[in-house]
Amino acid sequence: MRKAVIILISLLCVGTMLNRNAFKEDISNKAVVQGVGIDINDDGTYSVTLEIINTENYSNADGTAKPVMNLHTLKGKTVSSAIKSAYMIDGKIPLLSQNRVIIIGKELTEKGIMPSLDFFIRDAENYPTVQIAAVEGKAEDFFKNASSETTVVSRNIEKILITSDEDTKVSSITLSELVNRFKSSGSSFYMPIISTFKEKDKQEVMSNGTAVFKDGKLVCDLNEEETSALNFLCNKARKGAVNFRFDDVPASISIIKSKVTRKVDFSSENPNFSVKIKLDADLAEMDCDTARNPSESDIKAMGKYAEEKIKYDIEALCNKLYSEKKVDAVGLSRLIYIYYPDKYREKEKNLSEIMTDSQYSVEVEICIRRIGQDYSS
Amino acid sequence: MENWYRKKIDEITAPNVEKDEKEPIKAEVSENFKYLESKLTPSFDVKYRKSEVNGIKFGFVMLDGMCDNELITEQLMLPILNGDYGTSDGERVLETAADLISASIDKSIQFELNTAVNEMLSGNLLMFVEGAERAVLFGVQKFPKRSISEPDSETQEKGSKEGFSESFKDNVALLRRRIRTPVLKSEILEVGTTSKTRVCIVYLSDRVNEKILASVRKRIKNASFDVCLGAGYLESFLGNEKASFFSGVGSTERPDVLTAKLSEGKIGIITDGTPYALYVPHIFTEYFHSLDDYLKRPYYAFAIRTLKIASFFIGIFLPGIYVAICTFHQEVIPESMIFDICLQESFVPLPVMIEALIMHLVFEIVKEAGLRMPKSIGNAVSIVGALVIGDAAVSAGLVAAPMLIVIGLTAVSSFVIPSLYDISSLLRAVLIIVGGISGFYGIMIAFAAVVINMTAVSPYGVPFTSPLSPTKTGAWRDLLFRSDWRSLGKKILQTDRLDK
Amino acid sequence: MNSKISVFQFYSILLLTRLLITLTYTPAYTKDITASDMIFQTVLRLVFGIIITVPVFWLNKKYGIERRDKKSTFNKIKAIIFSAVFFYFSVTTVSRLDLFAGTVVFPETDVKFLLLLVVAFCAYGAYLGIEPIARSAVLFIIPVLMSLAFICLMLVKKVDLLNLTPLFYNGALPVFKTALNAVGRTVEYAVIAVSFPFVTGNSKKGFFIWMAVQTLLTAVIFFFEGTILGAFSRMQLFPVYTIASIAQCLFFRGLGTLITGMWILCAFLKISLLIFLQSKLISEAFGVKKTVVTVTVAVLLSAVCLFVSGSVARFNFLDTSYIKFVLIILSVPVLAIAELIGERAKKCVKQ
Repeated sequence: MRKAVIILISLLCVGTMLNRNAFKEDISNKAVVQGVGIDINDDGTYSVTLEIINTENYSNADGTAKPVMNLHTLKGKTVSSAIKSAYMIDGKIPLLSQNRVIIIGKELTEKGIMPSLDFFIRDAENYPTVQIAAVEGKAEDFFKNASSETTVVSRNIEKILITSDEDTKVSSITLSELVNRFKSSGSSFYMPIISTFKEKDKQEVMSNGTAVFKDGKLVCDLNEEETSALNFLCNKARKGAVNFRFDDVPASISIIKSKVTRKVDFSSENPNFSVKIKLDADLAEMDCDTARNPSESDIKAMGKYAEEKIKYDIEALCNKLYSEKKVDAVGLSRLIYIYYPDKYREKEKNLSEIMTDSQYSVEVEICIRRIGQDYSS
Repeated sequence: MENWYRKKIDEITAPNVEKDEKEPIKAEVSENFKYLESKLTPSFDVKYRKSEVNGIKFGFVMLDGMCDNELITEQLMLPILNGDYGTSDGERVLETAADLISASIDKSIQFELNTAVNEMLSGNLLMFVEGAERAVLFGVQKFPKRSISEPDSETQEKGSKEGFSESFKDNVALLRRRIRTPVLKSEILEVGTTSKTRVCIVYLSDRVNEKILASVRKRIKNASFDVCLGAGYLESFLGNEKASFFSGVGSTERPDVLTAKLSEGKIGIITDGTPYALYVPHIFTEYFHSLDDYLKRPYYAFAIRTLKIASFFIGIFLPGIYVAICTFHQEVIPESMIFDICLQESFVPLPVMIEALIMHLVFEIVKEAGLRMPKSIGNAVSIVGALVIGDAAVSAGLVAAPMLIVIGLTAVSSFVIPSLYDISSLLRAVLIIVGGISGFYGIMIAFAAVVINMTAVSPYGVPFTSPLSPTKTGAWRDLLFRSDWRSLGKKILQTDRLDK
Repeated sequence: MNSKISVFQFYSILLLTRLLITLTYTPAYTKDITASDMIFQTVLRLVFGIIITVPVFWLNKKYGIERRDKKSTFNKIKAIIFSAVFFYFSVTTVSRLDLFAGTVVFPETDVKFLLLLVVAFCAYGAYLGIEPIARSAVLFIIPVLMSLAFICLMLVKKVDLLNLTPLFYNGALPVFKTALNAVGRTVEYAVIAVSFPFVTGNSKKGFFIWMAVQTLLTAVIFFFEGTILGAFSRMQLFPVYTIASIAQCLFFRGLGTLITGMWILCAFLKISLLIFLQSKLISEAFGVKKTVVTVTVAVLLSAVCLFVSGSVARFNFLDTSYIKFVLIILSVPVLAIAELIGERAKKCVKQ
């Protein structure tokens, strides 16, 4: 009996090995994808740009190093067929589990991005926490402009987006968050916009604003200040700077701690949203001619100016999103769903109108804790 | 077919030993000598000597090289040959001669020649007297033996430097020195139809489990083999886990460790000619305990035990997991490492699984070579091994540097518990294959199978995985964390868990 | 077959096998149910679970474990029914593992040989008997619970309470249906019904503790799933695996592999236990050698699973909630009530 079991298990092991052809799955036979760019062509096909680790990263005969990454642009009727065709280039299967970012081209954002993301939701190899961002032109051009011999563009983008906690002007969204918002916040969501800029003959990557979507299509772009307001409203502004003018000079405070409370009151005909933001901050800079130690009243006044600034930005954003564009990228309608489910069910179909007619009150409270080095005037 | 084959094999390998028939000792010395010569010739080392004192014939038989010649001359021959017997009656002369010998020499009267011969072959001196139908055996053994030295594989920082040697009497004496109580019992049994190797069962009678003791006795008596060259022969008879990786029989080279085991109610088995002792029942957690744990501060013991457990798991799982990650679960590789691993592995012409297996094999070869070859050239093997496997293989692109680090770390980790080396080496190879075929999925299935295989071991009714499972929380004070001696007090006896 | 295990060991096995169901649950069975409802229904299923096991405990308390000759006709019928139930659940467990391996671990690969390997190893576990299975469960429970706690700890920062939903948003019916569905998927109730002869200790107390612990664990897992993934979880085949893969510790990510490990350990125990119970019941009722039954069950199981492995439609049919519910109701309360009536009638006749 024991011998029979040993023989059986050995046979199964050998069979599995032969059947699985496991050696083909080896990391040396995989093209490790670090970034994916998706564009849509005029004929409705997709162009997918893959940033893949260059495994032949040794020096050329003349001593110059080969680039650390390879860029491949592939075409296909679907995103998956385009990605899978990477196999044709060097015989390596694309590995998507190490993918850091999905960059979506402008044209695709206008036509609707959800169909192109289906593959990434469906395929188990893709990570649900992969970052998603949009670019102004084509994703392919973005990768080509941004790449150099020594940089991994996708990693840089991921680092910038992940550190959005440190900067209120940068927004970020992962695949799972995007899908969740699409499915639950009136089909609206947002994503950061990424662009390149030249610095000392070298292309660098930066985030400059946010793209807002409804039903998977681009509705509008938000600038840096609007992005900052969006982060405050979404309770994602953990750290970063708030700029304002004090005594006609630019001043800045840096956030240490933030707490955002969002409430809704739907007892009357239209909902009344109230947002309360409490910030603990340090005085970062005060650009006056002679450095001076701010007095108690100066500190209070600076807090007031900063409060006014944030309040103004948030109100402007609410006005833009809810009144002008009729899009709930912030997800405030979720509050109605949670706290007033009956009313939500009743008014689900004309939610955007309800949100347009809603009242938005913002309250900001800033406490400046430290004023930096104490030196006498 | 199988039975026929087994029967044939048994016939071929059956020891050609004459059945011992009872042969009474004869009154004539020459007759006895004749019989002995017929049994023992040719044996150059058997010495026969006849002497005559006052007309009484004495005959002496001994093995040259196994007896203490000085002792024989001064304390045995001198009193016997100078003795005043006052009678020619052989029986009375024999008794008087025996009485003349100092009490420090063991004496026993023999009536049967074959038994007497067997005892003589153990290094005793056999004395016949003309007219006496008995013989006397004197315990004058002096074997060529190794002195007590420090154990090789169980070195301790603070423990004693004494280790067991090949002489089982010395080994028992080492125990006696540590337990000076009448409850320490030692029973002698004989195994091996030809070698007649002596096996000593030691235990503390006030705490030993009688059922286990009876079972041990029975198993040793029933152990059927021809020659016993080491305690390992007995191990398979003492344990009943035929199809398990793990054994319910423990072994130690250290008398202090065996003393500790005896104090827990376990039974020690000391085999003549073997420099280590066995003990039963042995449980899994004991692999991670060492004497130093008890000699140092408890928190240090905790740290060391944690380290040992971690090393054991690293020693078994690391290469398998590395292979699984590189083959199937690349998503687990941290961002900072993916670039290097990907680059390094892409140069290697072999799949990761085969690469790991070859490295494992090469390491085992180097280890075996280092172990077996003369110490003087052992260093050369280490250097060649390190250079060839390490530097050259990586430079030539035959092995990836991360793989080398993994195998190196694994090898070092598996030496933290030398007694588990064989198991971890075997499991490591299995897990490399399984990891390469089916990733974590296969590794976990194999792990589950190994655990269930381990839990099925129940030496003498004591579950091998106790006190973890079945849970015996009382014994947990000396599991991972060792309580202070003040509270540790009397340790829970493992044999309390006997469920048969 | 005199091996006995303690209540703690027994319910450790059941906790792990139950955890397997939670870890491998698929939102397809829980249509129209929202995140908060998912958490709430764990309490409901606890109540339903207690209700359907009352007759079993009552029968055991009133008439003891050795009620009739093991080879009596009633026992034979009982053995056949329970073996069929256990076989059915073995098939679904192996097939689910096969689906997981084929979808998540080795996508686009034929995993039939792996399936056979799993069945072979589990048959080996069953062959060794209940004691090794129980001891292994106690050993596995430590790493499994630690891994779960570790993953939860790594996920705490990602919890977003706004992903919770109003209770009974789609009405109470889907919540009740889901809870009943979950009861139907709990083969452990059937295992408890046949386990009294080989479990020592206070089984009733163990049962309540087990119910409480598994309810708590399930609620915690559903809480994390609902609050982290929100609506995204409804789109995942194995959402618990997805939340684990989101977890990150320092620079290590992909803790989903930890879930894979836990999952496989639990599945190994469950399949081994079910094969063991089938061989025990059949061998005791019909006097067949246990090893023969074990091998036969393993071969049959492999054959059926290979057949199911070929198509997702077959798996979906096999995994239908109604079939499972009927099987559990038939084997647990109905059979126990029938036996109670039978015992009572026998007593009346004697009087």
